[in-house]
Amino acid sequence: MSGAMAFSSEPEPEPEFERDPEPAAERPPAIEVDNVSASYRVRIDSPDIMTDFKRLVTRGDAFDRLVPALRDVSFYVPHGTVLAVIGRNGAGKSTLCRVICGVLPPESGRVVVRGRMNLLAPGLGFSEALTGRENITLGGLACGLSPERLAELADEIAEFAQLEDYLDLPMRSYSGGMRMRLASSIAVFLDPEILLIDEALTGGDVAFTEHIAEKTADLIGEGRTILLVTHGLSSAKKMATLALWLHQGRVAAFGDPDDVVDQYMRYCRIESLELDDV
Amino acid sequence: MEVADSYSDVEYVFEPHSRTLPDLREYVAALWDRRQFMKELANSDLRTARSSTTLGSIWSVADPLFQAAIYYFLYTVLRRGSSNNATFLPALIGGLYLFTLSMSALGEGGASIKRSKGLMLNSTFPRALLPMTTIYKELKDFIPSALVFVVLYPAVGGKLGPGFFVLPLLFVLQTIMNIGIALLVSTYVTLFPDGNNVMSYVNRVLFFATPVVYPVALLPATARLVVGWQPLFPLFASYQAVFSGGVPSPLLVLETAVWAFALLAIGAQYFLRHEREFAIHL
Repeated sequence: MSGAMAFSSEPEPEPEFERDPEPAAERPPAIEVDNVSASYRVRIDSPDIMTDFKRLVTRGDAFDRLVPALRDVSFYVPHGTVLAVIGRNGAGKSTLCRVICGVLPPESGRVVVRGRMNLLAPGLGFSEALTGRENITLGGLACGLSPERLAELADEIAEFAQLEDYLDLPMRSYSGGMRMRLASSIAVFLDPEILLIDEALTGGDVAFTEHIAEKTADLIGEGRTILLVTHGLSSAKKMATLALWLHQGRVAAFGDPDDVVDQYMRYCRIESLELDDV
Repeated sequence: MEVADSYSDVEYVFEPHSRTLPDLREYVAALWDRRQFMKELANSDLRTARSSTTLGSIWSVADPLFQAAIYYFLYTVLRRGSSNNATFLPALIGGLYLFTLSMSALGEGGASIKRSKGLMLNSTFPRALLPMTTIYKELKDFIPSALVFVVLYPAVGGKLGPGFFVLPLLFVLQTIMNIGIALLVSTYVTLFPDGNNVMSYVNRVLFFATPVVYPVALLPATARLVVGWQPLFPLFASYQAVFSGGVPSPLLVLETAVWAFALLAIGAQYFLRHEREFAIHL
């Protein structure tokens, strides 16, 4: 298990963590993240025309700001594990998901993923003018499923997402919660070996959160590997077999979910006390 | 925890972005595997575009008719229809419809990556599918224009010449060229934020530098020397020869073929070397 991190604005160097909290099968891990760093490029608005000219001469690179999102992150996830990723907003959790599924290239380090992977919510990103059924089809086809299989799955997914009456209506008529329900339902139904769920994208009402937790439990029962980005600390303790706490892009703790969540809660309490003092 | 015993042997390795080319055979195979996705995405886009207007699909027939009517009015009514104008009209209308296809590759194809930000950040698939989907969609959308042209061509005095046998070859070369343009421009526009502004000028320059609204024969030698060095020139000069009842010279067709394959090679190289960094720029 990892040690706690320092509760300051500048975190201490990443603590060592045990590499094998619960040795699984002899198979190589489902996910290996090795010293990964990743950044986003943000364009800074220029205040005047002279800056624009300078930008032209320097090809603009000098005026772009690289925002580090992950710094030297290392951990591994055995097959059949449920890894809860916790941390404050902006800690790098969603970036980690995007790096693991290959959407965002790491700046340094290496990620190896073994198994068919579904990320976040494959139904997200399509036109809102399309119906729910069309979104299911497109999401599935993007993941490489056959149209025949998707035709079978569409009604099942709609029933699971509690959207039967809306399935053939354009998505622009859906509420935010309904869209997210559909997206997360597509993700869990497309037979993933490794499923990455970003709660920020798959949120819904309490009833649906429980509903999807049941489905996730089924997948866990089948030995699938799940990476769950969550703010729900109790569900992290309940569902996860491993937990990772990210803070300012670094690994603050990794290991047993009870220990990691406790450390994170201690940190949150201390920070809240410091804020009260101010 | 019981681990599922029937895992696939799929393995992904993600390393820092390098501009080396991926294995082309594997990449093409991955594109082929997702062909259903490309078809469905293109069909959905078309349905969406049509369902957002009152006239819907009627626009796909009305639009080429209106274009033809405007140029008919310009060339035969405003200019009092000299015999030269009358002969040129079939080539003008045909050239205009086909030119729209290439301009869609530049505009729509070019914007295909930036427009699909949500899809790019939430799904993994070979990114070249997006510009290629635009080309497929534009080809489907071209069918009504082609049918309108088949009816209009004899009506505006067009004649069937032996050059029509070259037409399928020219169309295939144009499609190859359009894929190259879409790959090239979509990469450029994604990497450089000013790309869209630049492309609007490129679009206008190409319109006047391509023999669509004027006969090639009217170009002064010096002007031809200047505009003849852009990829669309030999293609549209060939189309013009066909729609004027003649046969394009073999040199023009060869020049078109060289441009088509060169643009495809350059566009694909540029796209594949940068596709992994697209997410950073979106």
